[in-house]
Amino acid sequence: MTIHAYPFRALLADYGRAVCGLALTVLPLLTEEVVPGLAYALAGLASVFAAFGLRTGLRHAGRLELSATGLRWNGPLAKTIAWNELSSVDLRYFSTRRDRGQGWMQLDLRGSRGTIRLESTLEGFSQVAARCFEVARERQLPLREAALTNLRSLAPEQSINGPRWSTS
Amino acid sequence: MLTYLVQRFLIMIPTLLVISVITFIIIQLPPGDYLSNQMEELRAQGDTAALEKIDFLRKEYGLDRPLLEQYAIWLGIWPGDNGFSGVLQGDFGWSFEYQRPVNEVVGERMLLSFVLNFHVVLFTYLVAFPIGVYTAIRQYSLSDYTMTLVGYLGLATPNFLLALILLWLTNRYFGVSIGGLMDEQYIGQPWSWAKLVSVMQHLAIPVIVIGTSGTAAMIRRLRANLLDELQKQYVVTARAKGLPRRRALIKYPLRMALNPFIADIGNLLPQMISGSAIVAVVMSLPTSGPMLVHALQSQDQYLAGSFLLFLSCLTVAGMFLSDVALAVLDPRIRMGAEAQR
Repeated sequence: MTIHAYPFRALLADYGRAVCGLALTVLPLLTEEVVPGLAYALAGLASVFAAFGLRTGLRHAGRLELSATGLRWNGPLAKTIAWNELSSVDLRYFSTRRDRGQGWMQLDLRGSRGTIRLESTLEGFSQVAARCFEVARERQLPLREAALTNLRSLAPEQSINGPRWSTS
Repeated sequence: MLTYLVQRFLIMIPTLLVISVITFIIIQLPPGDYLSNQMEELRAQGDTAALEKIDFLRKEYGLDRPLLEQYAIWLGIWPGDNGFSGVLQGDFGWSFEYQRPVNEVVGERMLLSFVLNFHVVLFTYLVAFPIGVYTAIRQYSLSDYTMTLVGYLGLATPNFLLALILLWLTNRYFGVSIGGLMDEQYIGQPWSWAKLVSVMQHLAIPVIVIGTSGTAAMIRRLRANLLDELQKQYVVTARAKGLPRRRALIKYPLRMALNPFIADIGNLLPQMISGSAIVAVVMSLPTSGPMLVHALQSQDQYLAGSFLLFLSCLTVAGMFLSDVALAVLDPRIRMGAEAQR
């Protein structure tokens, strides 16, 4: 069994983003008589930043356990996905740059009892992703072409040949 | 996805602030302002009552204050003589030229611009999309050559020239003027069913005039993108494995070929408001394009500034929407790009 956590440095950056976002959206709301449409938009944005801050806190307090029987997220809102319950695996790449560089990956795992989402800032992320795709291949789960491309980029040694024409 | 949204928002908000600063500085860059020019004219005429009113307006809108303070008051983050009263509070200032609040001046024109340009975008997509796909899957056929010729003609003809030709043709052979967006009796009147019908009747020609070049360009781009995709190995493999032709087209190649168009959504939103200014001047369309040009020329700073800020907001919002759509549709790493977080 291996245990994985988000490094404090990455979490600190996310806390910073949440605080900056809240400051930029809540401060204008404190001025007098903000026009309703704009006030709703700012309040909506503020709630997104608040949710992000909350999620960062949950990640700070949690640990991922990767074992022979499955994955378990320990901490607040704990979740478990046994390998024999894994129903879907997806690996998505995000970047805010025009050249699509310097981005990050998100691993979405669905089981019968919930979903676990992991980001590539997690320590040992490529190891976790490779193991999940291995299980997906064993269970013959449909995998998206984009997810396989992303996995090849993340862990080139993991040459996984999933069904090319998937239903998703 | 939440991280992506947060990061995009954190880029968007400072971008909008910087844009608002730049917009305000650009408006202020030319020497003098609208009121100074008016004051010179009135002084020459010896109209002292009007001079007092201009002096009042100058104080009212803080034009006698430092630039930074003027900006903060305009944005609504600094109290002026009437407390907080700026863009954040929905007060876009006073149009000196029209002698009315900016909100009132731009209201109807924004609506007409939106209606016109929305139909232009609709026309462009409805016409270009099927033709682009058809010419790609029937490459080098007679219809492909014909559409290509029409596309080149559309691309090469400036919109305003097409407008002038149509104006002349309809006047010469049908004896009617196609200028304007409604019959004369409805100009300045409140909205009614008859006015709406009149607007819809006048829309056809401006939509064709403004939409032709965009349609031609879209046909060419969609055809080229789709041809690139159709020749890739995965399409050949899919066909070899027996995937039906239509499914092999729609499932992946068409989706991939659409990526550049999704990226273009960012440009569509501002176009809805400011697009086709030259054609609007030629065809006497009461849209916001000519008003923006005129406001910039006459240094009607609050009107021009509000326009530019609004267009910038639409551009940034459009870019955000297209980026999110692309992130959802194509979450694939580009080979060579490193995932660093």
